[in-house]
Amino acid sequence: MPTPEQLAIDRRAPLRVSVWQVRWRRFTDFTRRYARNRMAVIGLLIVLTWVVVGLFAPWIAPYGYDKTNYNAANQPPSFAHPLGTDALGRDQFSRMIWAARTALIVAPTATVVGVVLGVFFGLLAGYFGGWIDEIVMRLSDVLFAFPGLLFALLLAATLQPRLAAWLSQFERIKPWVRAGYVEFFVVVIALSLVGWPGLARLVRGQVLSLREQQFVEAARALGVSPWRIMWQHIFPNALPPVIVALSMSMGSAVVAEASLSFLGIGITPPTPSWGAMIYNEFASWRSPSAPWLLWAPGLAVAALTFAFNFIGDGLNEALNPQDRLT
Amino acid sequence: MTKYIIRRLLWNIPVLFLIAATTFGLSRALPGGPFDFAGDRSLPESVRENLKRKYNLDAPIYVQFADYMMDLMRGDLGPSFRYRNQTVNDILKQTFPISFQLGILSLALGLLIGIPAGIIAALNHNQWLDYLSSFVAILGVSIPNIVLGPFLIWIFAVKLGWFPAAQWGVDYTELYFGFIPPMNSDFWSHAALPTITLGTALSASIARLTRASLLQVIREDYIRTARAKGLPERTVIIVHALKNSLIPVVTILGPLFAGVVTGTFVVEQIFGIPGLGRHFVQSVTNRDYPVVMGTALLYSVLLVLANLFVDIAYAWLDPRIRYD
Repeated sequence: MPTPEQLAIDRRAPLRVSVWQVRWRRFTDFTRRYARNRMAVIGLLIVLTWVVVGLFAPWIAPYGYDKTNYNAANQPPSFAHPLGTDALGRDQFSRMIWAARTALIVAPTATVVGVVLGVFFGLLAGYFGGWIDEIVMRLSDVLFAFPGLLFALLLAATLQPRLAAWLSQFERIKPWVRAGYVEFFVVVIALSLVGWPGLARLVRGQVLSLREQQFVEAARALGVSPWRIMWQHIFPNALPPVIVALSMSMGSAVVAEASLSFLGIGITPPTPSWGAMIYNEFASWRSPSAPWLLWAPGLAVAALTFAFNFIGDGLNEALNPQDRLT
Repeated sequence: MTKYIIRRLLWNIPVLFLIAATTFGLSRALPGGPFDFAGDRSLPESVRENLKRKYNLDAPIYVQFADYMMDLMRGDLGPSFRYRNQTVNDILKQTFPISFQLGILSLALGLLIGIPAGIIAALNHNQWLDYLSSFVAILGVSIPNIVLGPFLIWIFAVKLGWFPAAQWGVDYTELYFGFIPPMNSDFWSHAALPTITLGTALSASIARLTRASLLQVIREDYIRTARAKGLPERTVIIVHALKNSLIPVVTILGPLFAGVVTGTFVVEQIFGIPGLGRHFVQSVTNRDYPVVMGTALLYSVLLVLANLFVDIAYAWLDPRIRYD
């Protein structure tokens, strides 16, 4: 039996490491593992590039996205118009840049809202079980039985005009409505409503196994409140798969936004969206007069989706080192 | 097991009811009505009123919903508002088989390419073949239909002229039993590009999953036992590893099926295929409420059945799983 004095010494000497040092160490380990995956690094660079392009769109884009010039319609690529102009004489290069802003506002917001909803309901359902679990899971059953895009389509088609009409009464918001921000909002809502059930199930599954582990039992025995156990003990441990899913679903959100806009229901002209641009120029695929008008937005959507998926892959390897082999 | 299936089927009734109610509410909330034609085609107020009365659109919404549900019990999905001589049942009968063919073909393509690719990658773990196929798979997962479809049209229809750029090869009148298409060259040439468009992403995600799952199974004790017994490697892989590694693949068939349904919406729009997805998108713009409802319900029933089927297959493949 050591004396209290001995214990004090033992405790002090070898372990004088602050929490932040540990965290920093963990972070550098994580970045090193992430950087080992070259494609993941490239993916990150692609996303960052688009973010910068989207952020500084007004300064980078040589023309406005809705600036028409009928004297310069349907032009092939040139120095003045690197990607040519469309049937209305709008500069395709500028529209590409502005559309990056659309994609990078809509997709991450939709994903984050969906993930927050999913994590919240998943934690609730997994930790408390019982009738809460029952309600959340049944609700996700219903949403699962509903083809996602079909639901998003209906939701976007019903919400958008009503919301726009309602918001237009307020003088202060009107210019925003006219600039097409309501569509952003509606697409975000539609996509996040469709997206949360999958994540809720993922988180619930994690919580169900974590809940039975000893550190949670210990916390409970110490009288920690359920809410605190949920957020401080279970949530951080359930996080890695959520982060991977977050990155992957960013990619699918980019595609979903483009697809909705392609079907004419998401972001509508004149607000630029890659999906809507592909749809607009679609006729020229069949009668190939101006293929570059289509290559550009197509490649942009594909590149951004690749990037998010590669990031997801890299995060998966960096966060779950034991899964590296699989 | 039978009990489980019956319980699941019963549980699906309220799910479908909720979906019917949501779709009904949402489709009625679409601004504008089915008879608001613009410009020259606009109808006088009195005609519009009469049309609304004929289709019972002037009744309170809950009465309309109750009527709809009563008709639904009898399997009657109501008349289409836009196509005056057709009922929704007719439209579904004509357009759904086409979407179904597209979906089945893509799913088949996904499995045919995805599973072998995944196996090859796993067996050559950490060699160039593995890296190559994993890289191609992640590219395939990422390339969106709205990009791949036009790209394929551009190369194979416009530039090379090998395949038609649009439409579907067979008419619904030519189908055997109203479902099975004649396997002629017209059918295949029209089906090729859309199937590849839709099947690529499927095969890529199936390949990724098969690879991961097979790699996990190969490290199991019973595989080591099989090898220790001196079984040839081929037997070990085919008899012992493969079947078990396909279980996770079966479990994602449900979500994949949902993805196929969603995919047909976009692919049919790209290729101008007169299937149900394309019709649905048009019906939303046309405010053709009964068609919107009918499509949503049909797809929901299909998804629910697909998920049930997957769960049953899961239990059948893995005897450790018991439902009660």
